[in-house]
Amino acid sequence: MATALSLPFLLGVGGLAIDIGRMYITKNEAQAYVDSASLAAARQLDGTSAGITRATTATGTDTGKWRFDTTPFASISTKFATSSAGPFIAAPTPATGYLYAQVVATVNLPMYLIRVVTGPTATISAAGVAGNSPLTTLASGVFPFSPYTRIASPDNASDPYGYQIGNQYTFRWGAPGDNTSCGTDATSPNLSQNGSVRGYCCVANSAASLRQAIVGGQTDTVTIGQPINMDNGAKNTEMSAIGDRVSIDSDTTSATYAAYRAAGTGNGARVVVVAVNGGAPNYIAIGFAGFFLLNSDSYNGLHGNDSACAEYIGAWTQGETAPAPGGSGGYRLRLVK
Amino acid sequence: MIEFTLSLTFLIPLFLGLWSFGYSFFQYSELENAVRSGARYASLQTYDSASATPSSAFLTAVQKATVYGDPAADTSSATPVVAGLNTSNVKLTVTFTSTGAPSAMTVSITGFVLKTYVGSVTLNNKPYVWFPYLGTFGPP
Repeated sequence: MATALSLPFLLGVGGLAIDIGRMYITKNEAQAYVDSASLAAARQLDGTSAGITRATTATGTDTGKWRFDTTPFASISTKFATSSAGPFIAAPTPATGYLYAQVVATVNLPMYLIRVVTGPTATISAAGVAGNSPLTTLASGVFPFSPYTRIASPDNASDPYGYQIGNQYTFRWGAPGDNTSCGTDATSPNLSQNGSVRGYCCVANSAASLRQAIVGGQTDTVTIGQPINMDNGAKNTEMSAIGDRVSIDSDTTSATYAAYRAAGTGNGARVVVVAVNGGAPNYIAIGFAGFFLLNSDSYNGLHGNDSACAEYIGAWTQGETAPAPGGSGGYRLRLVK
Repeated sequence: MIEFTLSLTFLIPLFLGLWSFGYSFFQYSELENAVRSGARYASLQTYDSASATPSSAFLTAVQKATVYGDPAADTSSATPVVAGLNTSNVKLTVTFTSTGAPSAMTVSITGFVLKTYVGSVTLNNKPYVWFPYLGTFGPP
């Protein structure tokens, strides 16, 4: 009799152990899915309606599942906003400024032992928000050159560095007094006022470290507002390392960034981020900028006091292989919520 | 007393079963969190291989981040997030784009046995978590 009377209580305890446990697992699975799906969606956003379409499609490429990783998520909502706080809209028109993606996944989990309390199913929902956040520091991965700001003699006064998207600027300077071959830098005053500073930065002052950094991106931390560690010496033999970096890309021939994007065959190795400096004597990092390395013919064979150039593309976003040109600064795609 | 004794034959298996289910779910949930941490870590690091086969250092760091929550953990003294889990149970799958750049990192548990009083379950390729690759591609 006592056992029979206590049976509802025992089933309740069993329900806590089994059904609540399954609810926790489902919630974890849903959260893992929306986190990755919102990142996949946000990386497609570029402020255009085509970007919104790509982002909505991208959530479907996420392979996350629930029910012990056996069942794809079916009820998915993808919305967009101009800030992490929202409001989130499914199809914003125009899409300008919509750089945050929210993905919500909802599943109805069948209940077995506590359906008296929950009903036949429990609704489990999870939401993730991802977007581009401005970079103020980069622990590694900056390309080890620091171009000078052109704000004193700008090509484009509305750009924070005075650069014009599509123009070439100097990464490596020749000897003091020599003009460079890089776009309007060639007709501007030689910004390299310190003869021992040729543009290399952000890594231990050794040939091996520079080569490794140029090809692989293992550099020191660079923080906006802090002095950049410029490397001394002409470092003439380092120029071929840029050619090596270009050769890593699956598109080594496109002459311009527009052609590179149009071809769509590059893997992003030629798209680099640098810290722009405010000039001698302190070389303060004033911001990050995206640049496109020219084709390998432009670097191979450079030596002596030759200059090396790269094309300004505007903003750079970590992990993007070929971001749309425009904007300025550096960004990191990250989970916001 | 007799009724209680008889009911124990029902109650003991019931509670052992409940405990086993509950503990298994708890372990699975912990593994889910572990692979999520490992995949997130992998998605943000500089990828130093030219192919979908990661370098030994990259793979080891991801495995340690998954198992111990620390990519530089000392395996001789660190405690795994789930008892019995070791780095050989962590599988990293790198997805490459058609143009030859990493596009996603998937971390899963494989060959790990969940043991309970009522049996055991071997987990193969689950739980798993996928993250788009957001780090720097820096092959040697």
